[in-house]
Amino acid sequence: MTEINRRDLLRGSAAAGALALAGLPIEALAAGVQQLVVQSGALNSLDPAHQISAGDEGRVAILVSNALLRYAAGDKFDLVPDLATGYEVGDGGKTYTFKLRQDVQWHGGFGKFTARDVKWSIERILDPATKSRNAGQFKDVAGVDIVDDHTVRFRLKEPSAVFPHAVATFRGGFMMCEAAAKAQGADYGKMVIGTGPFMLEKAVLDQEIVLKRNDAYFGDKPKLEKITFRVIRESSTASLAFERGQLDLIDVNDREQTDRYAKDPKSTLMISSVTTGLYLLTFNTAKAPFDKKEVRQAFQHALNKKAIVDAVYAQRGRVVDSVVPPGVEGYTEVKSYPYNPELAKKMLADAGVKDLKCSLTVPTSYQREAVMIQAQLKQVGITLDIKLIDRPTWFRALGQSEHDIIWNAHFRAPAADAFLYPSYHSSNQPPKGTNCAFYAGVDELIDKARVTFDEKARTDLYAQALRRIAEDSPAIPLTLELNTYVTRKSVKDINVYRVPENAPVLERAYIEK
Amino acid sequence: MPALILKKPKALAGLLLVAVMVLLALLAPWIAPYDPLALDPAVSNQAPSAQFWLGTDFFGRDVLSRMIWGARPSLLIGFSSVAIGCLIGAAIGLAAGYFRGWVDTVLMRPVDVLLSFPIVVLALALVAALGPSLLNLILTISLLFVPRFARVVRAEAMALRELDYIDAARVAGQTPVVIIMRHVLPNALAQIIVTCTVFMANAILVEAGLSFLGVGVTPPEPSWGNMLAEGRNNILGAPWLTTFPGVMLTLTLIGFNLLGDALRDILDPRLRGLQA
Amino acid sequence: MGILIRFLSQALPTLLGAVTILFLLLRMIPGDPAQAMLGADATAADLARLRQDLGLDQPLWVQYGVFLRSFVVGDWGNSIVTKTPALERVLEALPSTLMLCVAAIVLIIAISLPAGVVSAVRRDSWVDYGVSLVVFLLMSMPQFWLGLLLLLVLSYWLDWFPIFGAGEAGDLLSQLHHLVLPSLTLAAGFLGLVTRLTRSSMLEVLGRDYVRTARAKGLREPVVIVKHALRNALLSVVTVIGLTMGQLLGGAVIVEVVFARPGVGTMIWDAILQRDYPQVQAGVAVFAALFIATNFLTDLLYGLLNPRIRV
Repeated sequence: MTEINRRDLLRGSAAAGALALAGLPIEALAAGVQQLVVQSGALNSLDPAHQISAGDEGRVAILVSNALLRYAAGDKFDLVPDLATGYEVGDGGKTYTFKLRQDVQWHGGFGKFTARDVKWSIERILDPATKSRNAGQFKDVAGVDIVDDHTVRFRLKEPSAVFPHAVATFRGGFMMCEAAAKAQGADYGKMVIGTGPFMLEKAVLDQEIVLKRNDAYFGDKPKLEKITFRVIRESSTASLAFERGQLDLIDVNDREQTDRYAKDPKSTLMISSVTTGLYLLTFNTAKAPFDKKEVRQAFQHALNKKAIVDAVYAQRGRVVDSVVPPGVEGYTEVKSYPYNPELAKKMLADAGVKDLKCSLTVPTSYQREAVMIQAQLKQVGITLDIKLIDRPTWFRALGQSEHDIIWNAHFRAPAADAFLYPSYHSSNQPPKGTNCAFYAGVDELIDKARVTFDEKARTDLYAQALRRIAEDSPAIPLTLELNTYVTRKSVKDINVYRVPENAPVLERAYIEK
Repeated sequence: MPALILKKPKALAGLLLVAVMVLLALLAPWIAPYDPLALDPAVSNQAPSAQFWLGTDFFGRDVLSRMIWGARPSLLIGFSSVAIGCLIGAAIGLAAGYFRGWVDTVLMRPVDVLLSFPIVVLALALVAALGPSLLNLILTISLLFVPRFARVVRAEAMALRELDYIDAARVAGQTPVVIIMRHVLPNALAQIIVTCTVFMANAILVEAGLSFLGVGVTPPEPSWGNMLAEGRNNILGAPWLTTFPGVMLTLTLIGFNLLGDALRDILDPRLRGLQA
Repeated sequence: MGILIRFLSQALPTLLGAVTILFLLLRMIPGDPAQAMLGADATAADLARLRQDLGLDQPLWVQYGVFLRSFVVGDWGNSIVTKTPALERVLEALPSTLMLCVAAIVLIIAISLPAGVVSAVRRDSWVDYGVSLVVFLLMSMPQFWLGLLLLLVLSYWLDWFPIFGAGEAGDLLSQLHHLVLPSLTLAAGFLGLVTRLTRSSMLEVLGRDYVRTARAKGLREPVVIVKHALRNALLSVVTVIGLTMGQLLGGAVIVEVVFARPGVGTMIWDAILQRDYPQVQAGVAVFAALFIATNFLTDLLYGLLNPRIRV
């Protein structure tokens, strides 16, 4: 269950009846149509090969398309069947054989979903000519074989215990229709043909996308007839539009809005209980004085994570100590460094560090956190220079070695390997990858876990790795920012998915008259 | 000229507004009641009160203090970018307008090219390329003004060079540099001064626009532009965050615009006859 | 014929210069498109492959050669993000932006001309001061703040106008309804300029001999003002409005973001953030071309209206 604001549900119920009328969008009220208008960020492409943002495009994709597996909406990131009914692992983890549902129809009369579509979808993404940005998701795949119409086998280059995440509802994992893509050609990114509970009615990318209910959906039929995603970048504009009834659901991105809507009797605030989005400070351990473990640990004691959460996120943030977020396969609790500026000062002095001046490289959207961190470090005599950069520059900086300390945000598939391998395995040190901590302390644990198929043993290996990283502190995990939405009280049964990132679960939602 | 300014209410009002803002900026360390950077989450987003006259922002920082300190980067950007833009632009304009011919073509072609970019787009690309810092903002905004100054000054210089006394100077064998410095520049000065005041206002507006797009003065340092931009998401919950810096900024710009307008009235020879 | 030669010798080189500067500028910006597309977790191999696909591994002058050739033949490349032709996307978004700018021009003319004339005729009266005050206020407010305040008061509190979007396609009334606040916000900064210019041009003309003569002939004052004075004052005003059109395009970026209007402005903004070089190039090149074209037309118009000046 999502942590929908219970206090509001209880207190607001009496008032809700009177206010529901005022809260309904005018059009919906007039026509009595079950429809929602939802704020969206930039929508560039709905083609799974070219999807950029798992948040904005992913939330449309999950309504229109299916993958072989999907992440359940719940506290854990469990993989459950979607288009596949189940799978078998063979050849010591080198082959995965999926059994497919037989009752799945493509939208728009493009026929039945079969193993051919699976093979074609994956091969299309892997084909260099497609120039897919999501090809890396299937880099372990050596080939896809059609066993029969409803059985498909993946051959992997090396055994992998974490492969099922690649064919789940995340970025490139959504299945495409061979017949439709061939019929549509280059326009495929605009009018995606899927198998999901909704289908595209209209798509003006960068403006709006209108979905209508797919009555032939193989799963539970949605109650909403129509969902419109409107692209609105400016959150102050979205906020005004929501309160005026021109939008039914908007993103909540800061503490002020959270406070405001938590108090608003006409609105329901939805906060996910977990997220795969993890924020950290990563040290450049190749640079003095960050090559000293004691200095990094002093930073751990100097930072008051709770204060950052309270100030920046309030109820939509959580303090985190492990470099793998809770709820993710492989998570374990690790030692936490209590906030203790005096101890931090002493540790710095013991390490021979005086009047430390260093810089924090941070993208503009995390200014608030940076300002808090700067003030906290000042208390222990560290002068932090905030270097603000925009996202593309930041992406590049993560694969380089110029930084002292860099802000890191990991939005990964919910598996320990996805968090550990790219960021802490020595083979991914820049310029080869984004292990911009230049850390090499847990290589053998990560490698071993990758080929350990016994779940208990694998979890154990990850636990060891997480504890060692917490001790070495190449990075300081700070916070989880929970996905948050606000909608009208009259909109019922909305949930928040874990993956794709940020997606509200709309297929069961309905508007209470 | 100074006497004329004081006689016109419009000019006086403009001068007064600008002077007050400059004083605020200069005296910031002494008159700001709090440290503009001191965080206190306990008093986050407080409405104006006896303790915090203009309220506090998200971090519990005093809005009044930030507003006073924020005058510094805003005005600094205005003055220095106009100064740099004016020096380079006027030099180009004087040379192009006085010599005409191939000098004009060589100098003005790049100017036309620069002019053909929309201001915001060019500024955005430049700041993105250089990285956001106060110095880079000033350089970027100066670059926006260079072609605009060049245009204005060139037109003046072209008109002036046809005048008889400049012809006389030429015939008397004075070098072009001397003619430009002694005869052309002083006569173009009126127009240049007017343009400067108007562009000062523009520079401050551009900084605000860039702040809105996320590439203005970098926090935690306050500027009116970034205060407005940061406060806008909470315009319903904490209107004081945007209202006060917005009003300050608007007043300053009104000051510059009034001043520019009055100076134009005073200095524009075509209108001088009407002033009597 | 002379016009054509002037166009080819002035406008085209300027455009070419503009796209060249743009090309260099974009490649100065840190952060490459491959990284922006693949995100923070991309492997070096994936990045290298993508850079090769995009031609980013070539030396700069080779990239420039390729760019220039394809620019001249009209093949402006595909957007790196959406994989669709960049120019096509710009042309799709252009009508919305042009509509915004034209509406702003209409507002400028409809508001500034009468306001300027009235304040010139009633010089130093309270009407003059009132007009000045409003005009100074409008031109002294940052665009995004003015837009938000208009939204807050006229849309949020009074509920007169919609808050976002461009209206239903094919429904002109709804589109115009959506256009009011954005175009007003866009026009605001220029209202001041044009009003003051109209005022001072009128003042200048009103002092001329032929206006005095007209008055002396006993013509009614409105006739004098409109027929004799305004017509002559219009010359400089028309020029400024022509030049304004180009400037409005730049302002469209912020206005489109605030009012969540689709258009070329937001497209360029997004494209810069994503390092989508071909898309930025196409968007800015179209803006620059429009700017150069309106300037050129203004020049021509100026020449036509004022036969004394032959540039």
